[in-house]
Amino acid sequence: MKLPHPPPGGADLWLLRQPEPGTCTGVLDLAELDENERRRAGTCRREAGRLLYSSAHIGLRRLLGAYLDTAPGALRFGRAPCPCCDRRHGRPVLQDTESTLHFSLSHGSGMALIGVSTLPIGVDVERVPTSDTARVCFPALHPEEQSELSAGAQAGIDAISFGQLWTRKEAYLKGLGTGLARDLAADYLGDNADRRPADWTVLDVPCGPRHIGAVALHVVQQPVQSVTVHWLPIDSLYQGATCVVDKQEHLLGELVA
Amino acid sequence: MTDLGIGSMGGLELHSFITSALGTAPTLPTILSAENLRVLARRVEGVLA
Repeated sequence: MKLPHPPPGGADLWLLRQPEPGTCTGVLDLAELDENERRRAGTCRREAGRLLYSSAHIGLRRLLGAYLDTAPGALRFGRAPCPCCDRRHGRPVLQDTESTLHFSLSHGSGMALIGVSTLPIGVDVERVPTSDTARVCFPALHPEEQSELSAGAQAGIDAISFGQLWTRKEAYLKGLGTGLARDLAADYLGDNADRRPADWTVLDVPCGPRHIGAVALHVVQQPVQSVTVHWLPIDSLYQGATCVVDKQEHLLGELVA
Repeated sequence: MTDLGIGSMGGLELHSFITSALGTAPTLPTILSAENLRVLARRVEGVLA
């Protein structure tokens, strides 16, 4: 199956939920992963971690393969130069292709989010943090972000608000290409969109009741036109499944499951 | 850049834990570049807790 590229200034977001270990109805084709990806999957001690890592990376390959009409296993990934030091550990990029598509992948605690766009893009998805995690991470934020989260917070930092802000920040830093090497307090990614970094559009992504997500798009060349969230069913990634099925009509049902 | 941002909040928690125990810690990107952040966290906690 060939997927049409996102429109100029647009982005496709794909959500993938990891099935419970032992409930898979098919087998993931690990042969589609490269040696580095298989090695990284092998470092996960828990089956759930291996399953999520493998399915997220096979999903990324199948999606990019569908956009580019290329065999998923033939795609080669590299890193762009880091904006801080120019060494090649910046944003992930496709090698050996003329494609101008940008992509970003995030996965953690049972959910993966893949972003594909004509614009430089960063995505992040996280499980809603505990209040302890929010409390420990809070001092690392931008001063105005801290003020926002503290306003009216008599019973401690609201974990969902903190988590949403964190995913915006991480999506932005991934889009920027620095990742968390950049000071977390350097940029404001709070609730006031007008005060966020210029030339970037940062949007919250609905990910269901247990997860939070965000996407950041670099809008120097063109403004954001449309961002579409799709559901990527796990059974489309099993051996023998040759197409990516867009079950967007099931998205809301999946999100509340 | 860390590999796709896995475990970023956990990494920052670990960074804070090491800093409060030792007064210094590896940088956050160094911690997050660990092959298995959960194993690293358990080992550090076992030593410092």
